[in-house]
Amino acid sequence: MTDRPTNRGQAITLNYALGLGISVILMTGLLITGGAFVNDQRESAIRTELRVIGQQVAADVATADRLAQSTEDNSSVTLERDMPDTVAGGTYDIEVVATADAHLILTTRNPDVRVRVDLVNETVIQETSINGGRLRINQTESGELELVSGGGSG
Amino acid sequence: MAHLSNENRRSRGQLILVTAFALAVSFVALALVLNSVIYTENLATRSESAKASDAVKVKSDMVDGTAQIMTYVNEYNASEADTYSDLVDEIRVGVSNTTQFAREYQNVNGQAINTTLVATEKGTWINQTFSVENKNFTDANGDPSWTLVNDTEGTRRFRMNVTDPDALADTGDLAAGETRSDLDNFTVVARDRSVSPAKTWKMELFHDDADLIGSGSEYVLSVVVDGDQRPTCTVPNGVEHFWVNVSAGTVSGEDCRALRFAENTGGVYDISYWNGDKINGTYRLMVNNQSALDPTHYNSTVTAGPPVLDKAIWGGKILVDYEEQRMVYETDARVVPGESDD
Repeated sequence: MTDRPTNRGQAITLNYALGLGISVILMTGLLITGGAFVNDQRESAIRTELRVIGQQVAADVATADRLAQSTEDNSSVTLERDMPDTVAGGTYDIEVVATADAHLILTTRNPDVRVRVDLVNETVIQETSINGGRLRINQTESGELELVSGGGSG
Repeated sequence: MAHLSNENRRSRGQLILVTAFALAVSFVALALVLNSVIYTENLATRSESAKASDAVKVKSDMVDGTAQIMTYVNEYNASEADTYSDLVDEIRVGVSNTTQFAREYQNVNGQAINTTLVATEKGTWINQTFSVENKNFTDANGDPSWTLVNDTEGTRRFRMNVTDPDALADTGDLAAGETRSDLDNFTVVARDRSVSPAKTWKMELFHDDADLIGSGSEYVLSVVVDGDQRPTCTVPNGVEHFWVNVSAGTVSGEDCRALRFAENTGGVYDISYWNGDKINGTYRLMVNNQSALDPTHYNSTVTAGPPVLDKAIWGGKILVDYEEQRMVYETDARVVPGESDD
């Protein structure tokens, strides 16, 4: 056998275009699936974090509720708690929905994640929406509970 | 541009490198995100930041402590106190000492507490427990049937010591009648007049000497609630003396199930003795409404003999303040040692 060029009968341009095309398709596929995977993971991470934070806040509300229930006249109850300022790099909001079936809604934007955590409370809790981070649960003068953003006294 | 031809072998695969780099960056970002999840999940394993149980425990401890102080002051200082404010001052000193001790313990845990006495309720002892061996249960004027207190809202520590059981009426007459003339025996009556007909609770004490009701000639305590005869409780014949703890429901130290003081009355009732000349002994009880006592039934000084009225503290209110780093808990707490026994 004599040596022959292996790219016999092919135009150089075609060879180049084919190679480039296959590589681009392969790489794009990899990037898309990789990106989607990362996004999925991020969303589920945010969901997990919000759920944990929500449950912690709900536990604190339950604690404040128990304390408020044990008071008589001239009472004041304040509970302070440090929560993370961000989840997976983004800020979040905590909303108190004070229906008969009171619950918390924790939300982030981009990606839009929404987590609901039920509250167990005897004392009425005021409807509100605050940013995540350090928060305080107070008993108001009317005897209701309120969720306030920020720490410090007062 | 990536060169894939044979002529440029050395720079082949640039596209793959760029892609791999982009993927690597996104995976590093993912690792960072997951790291923050680990931190947040770590929160879930922590116990609650502030322990509600500590605050409630401190409150209930302070209430218990104050109740003990009140009981002590009522028990040992009432007869010497000239005014209610003497008693209140003693309780206030006690509360302040207790707070001081508690504070020293709690400071170690980073908890600050404070307790102050903010209010007290007046009560009165009706007392026939001194300088008598064998006095009957008549009032200061010798009237055997008399009303100790009108419209009391509570009674506590009602005890009588029958020092001479043989002075009890010898009868087997278990009269369940509603009126005083029906009864020959010594009877304690609690009557709630706020409803019509009035609800009455009656406790008779007598000696079934002739064994007419089959008690075996014992001393008998019989309770009649709104005309409904309860099973009797008895004390063996021949004892030198016996206690009837009306509040605790015991007779001579034995539990008497029929004896539940003023069980059918509402919150407000009168307490009367009928045929107080048919019993000898001592008694003492605390009532919480001193304005409803008729002073003519009592002697004003101890030297004139029993029964007398002594000042007492029925209950009160303390303000408990509890603080720790992340929690403030402040509340009034009502203190009533033993509350009412009815």
